[in-house]
Amino acid sequence: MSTIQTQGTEEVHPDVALVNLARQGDTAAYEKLVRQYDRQIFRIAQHITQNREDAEDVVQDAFLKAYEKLDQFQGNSKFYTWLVRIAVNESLMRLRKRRTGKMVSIDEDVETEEGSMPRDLADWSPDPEAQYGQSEMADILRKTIQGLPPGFRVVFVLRDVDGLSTEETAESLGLSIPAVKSRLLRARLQLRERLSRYFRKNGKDGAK
Amino acid sequence: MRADLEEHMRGCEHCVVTLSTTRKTIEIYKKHEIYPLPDAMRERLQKAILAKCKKC
Repeated sequence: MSTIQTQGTEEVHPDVALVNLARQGDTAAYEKLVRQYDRQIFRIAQHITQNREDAEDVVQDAFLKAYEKLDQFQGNSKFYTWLVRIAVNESLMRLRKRRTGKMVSIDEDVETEEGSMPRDLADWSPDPEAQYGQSEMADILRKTIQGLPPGFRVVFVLRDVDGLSTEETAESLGLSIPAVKSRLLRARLQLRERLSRYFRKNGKDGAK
Repeated sequence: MRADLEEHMRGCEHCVVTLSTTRKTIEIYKKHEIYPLPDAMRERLQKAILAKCKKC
């Protein structure tokens, strides 16, 4: 199996050596990659699927698929970016299975006008989370992000929660950079709008 | 362009509030772990992944 070739002068990401070893059958090298990224992949999967069991399945399936397809990884992007793409696809497939007869794609429902302009202009309490217990907060955040169309949710999770760059997010999702920026803005504004019901300064009473 | 934006922010309370609450939105989601990945589960997942890989 061929190894990923790099130019002599460019900085080589440490993962390249591990990927090359793994491509030659060194599972210990692949184990290092798994240990390095399993937490992040789990976090991404749970944010997209909103389901713990599905997120566990995504982690397993994503790493397994990545191992099976290692010879297809060209090294044009970071291994992690490539892995994230696989995990996002697996997560969306899990969402599809939970919605009977309905396909889920990252282009679904992104034409909505909701959240395109900020409407709720009330400021929030200085420490909005202090108003709620831990499980209440978890419930609020879960319900709120579940209300986002998958196409916005995925961009928000990768860019803002996982910290990928705009370019890496675009690459992971097969979107243009302007599309990522547009969806990210809409996602942020929609989430903000929904959370305002719970966190605005007049307190919980206004929350529905 | 940045100077124009900063100038606007000095005089527009609505934009200041929108910016600060949007920042808080991102911070809250970034630090909130929906389901933590306990070590025992992590070990189990890693073993399962590697066992399957070895069969490839």
